Amino acid sequence: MSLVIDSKQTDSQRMVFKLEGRLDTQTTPRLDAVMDPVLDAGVKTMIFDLAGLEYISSAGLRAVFRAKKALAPAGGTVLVVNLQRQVQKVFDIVKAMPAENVFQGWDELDEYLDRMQEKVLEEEEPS
Amino acid sequence: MKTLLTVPARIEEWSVVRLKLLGLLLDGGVPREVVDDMILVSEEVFVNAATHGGSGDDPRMEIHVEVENGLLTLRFEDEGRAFDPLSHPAPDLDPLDGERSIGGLGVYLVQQLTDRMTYERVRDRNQLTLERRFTQ
Repeated sequence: MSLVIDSKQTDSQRMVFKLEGRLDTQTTPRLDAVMDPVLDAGVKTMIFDLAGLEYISSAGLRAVFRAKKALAPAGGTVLVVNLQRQVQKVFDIVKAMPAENVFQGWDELDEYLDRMQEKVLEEEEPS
Repeated sequence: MKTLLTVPARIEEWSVVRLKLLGLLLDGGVPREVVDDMILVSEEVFVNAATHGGSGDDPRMEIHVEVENGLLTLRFEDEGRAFDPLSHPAPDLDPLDGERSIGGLGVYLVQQLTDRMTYERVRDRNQLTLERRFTQ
């Protein structure tokens, strides 16, 4: 198995894709296929957990960019966590993500998500 | 070390081509990190050739692999229509711009991960030569 995709919707606004293996020209179409309905459904935050992803090529990068592009108009974001050596290198070369959307681990990411949640609640609270 | 791999230039063959290259490069004493970079580079070149169409029902690609004194040279040859990756525009790399162009990414990665890249059209064949130095 060259790519394992484990997707989990944590709430109506948030989707987590856990990828294991290789995201290349042959495997990326499978990610596209599971990602498309999610993008159409209008999630706000898409998280890629890449702890088990050992390799990415431009084909895989395009999938990530496509997600970013699809979420952007509605103010949505793509976040990535647990980048391994090769993936980190490729992301760095093409400046794939702004630094504030890249997380070392789930502790850091959860903290960020909590802060975002508080911000949303504050904004919703009538003053 | 000097070897020639002749492979079908079709996308669905990439995983087989990759394993062959991986074995050759590791056996040739190329350090793991350089091997990983060059596998990525090879995928980008292979996919370009396979996508831009080889000739006939059974398009082929030749990959000449040479490892000598800390220099790895890969020469990719195919009979597809002329395609000079060096003539590709550089991609727009502003990470904050959601509308960025995503074309040319593969070629950009190849350029960044190799020390030298030359293209020639010789007798109706594309010849793309990539060099990467490494410390042994």
